[in-house]
Amino acid sequence: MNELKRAIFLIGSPKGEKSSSASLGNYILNLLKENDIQTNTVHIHSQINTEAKTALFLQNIERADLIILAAPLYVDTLPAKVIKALTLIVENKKKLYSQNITPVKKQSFAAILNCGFPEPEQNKVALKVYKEFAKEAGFNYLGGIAIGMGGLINGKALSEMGGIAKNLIKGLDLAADDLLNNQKISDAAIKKTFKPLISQNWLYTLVGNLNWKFKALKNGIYKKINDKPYT
Amino acid sequence: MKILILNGESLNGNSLEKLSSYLKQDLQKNNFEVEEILLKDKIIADCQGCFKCWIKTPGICIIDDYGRETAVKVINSDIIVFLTPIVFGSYSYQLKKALDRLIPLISPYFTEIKGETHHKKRYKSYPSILAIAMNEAKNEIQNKIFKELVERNSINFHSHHFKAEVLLFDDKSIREKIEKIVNNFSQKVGVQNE
Ligand SMILES: Cc1cc2nc3c(=O)[nH]c(=O)nc-3n(C[C@H](O)[C@H](O)[C@H](O)COP(=O)(O)O)c2cc1C
Repeated sequence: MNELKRAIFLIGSPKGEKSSSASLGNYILNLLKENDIQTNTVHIHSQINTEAKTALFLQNIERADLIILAAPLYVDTLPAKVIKALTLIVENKKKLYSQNITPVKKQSFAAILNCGFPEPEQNKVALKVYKEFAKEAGFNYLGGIAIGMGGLINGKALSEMGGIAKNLIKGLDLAADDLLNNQKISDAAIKKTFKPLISQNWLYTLVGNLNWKFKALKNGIYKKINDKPYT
Repeated sequence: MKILILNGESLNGNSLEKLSSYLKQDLQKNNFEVEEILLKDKIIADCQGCFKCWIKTPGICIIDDYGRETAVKVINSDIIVFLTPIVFGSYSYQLKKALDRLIPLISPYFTEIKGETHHKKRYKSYPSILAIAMNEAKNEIQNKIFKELVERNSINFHSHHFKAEVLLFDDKSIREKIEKIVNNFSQKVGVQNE
């Protein structure tokens, strides 16, 4: 078994530390830190926009034993910038491989997904895409955690979310144990995190719809919310 | 009918030019009005995830670049064609940067479609989607992912019709395949539009 020393956490949301992706990933990262794992956080959107930064990004990936990526679901798959980052990683791996440079130990990869709709199942395609990425990069795929109702987290620390995050936290605790042991995320962890934050979908969408209305009111555009500017 | 081709060719990957020229020829044969956007030549910033296109400037992204123009062209088309190298079963960065900027075209409000939550329409009608991905080698797993993804997109995007195909770069009969795909799909969409 590989010993885990260094983990890199990639935030794949444009909102960076204010994102639900960061909330979820940071929860796990803190547990890794408690176990003396060295960690390093990279905000993808701001760290691959110049050649120099990209080179550093790829170097940091090479140094990690474990790569954890947390990203939202965008248009049923990965956000554009995440596709770009993962493509860069695979291209770099191919280059290194052609020069006979391979990591001393096999690196592991895990994904954490959240989406705006209540059903976690909507992340299904994206989960498969992450698995394909791991294959192409030559990573050991430890699996993915996928949750719905991401709008409820909205960048808050999970510990501040009260009872609704109970199952999620239990699941992430289990997942962190698996990652620490460099093992595939267990079905028990996946099952716990799969449980919706609130059990009624209709309530989530009702609150969601009210939230849009409230924000539009605040911005003084309530009457324009259904505008059709392009036809 | 108006057709918009979103060409998601990668910056330094295989060219999709041959594929796109076959496509255009076949579409024009059917007397369609065809326009192509070679996305890698356009400045389209990444979506910032701010939702201001829903709650501040409804229907319009706050970033003023070619992403906005793409959205105008998309909503005024009968068919949009995605051309992309397959990337882990999904779209290329170049194509996806444009797709992420299309959410101003739908409404923020939730609705239920086939027992699942999605967003309501903003406009009366939306284009159908024809998606063609190119791969270097046969990969059934990725083909399946790609087809599933396009189907999911067609639900979120309220498209009446969709079709997803994956072809190989070194396919000798690509010309014939494209012709068949175009004919079948335009017939399907045409019948519905009459
Ligand atoms: C461009 C864009 C596309 C999105 N597409 C989807 C989608 O297809 N399905 C879904 O459930 N949520 C979708 N969402 C919602 C996000 O996944 C959701 O807001 C998520 O909680 C954001 O996470 P973050 O805070 O980590 O960025 C989309 C959001 C944006 C901005």
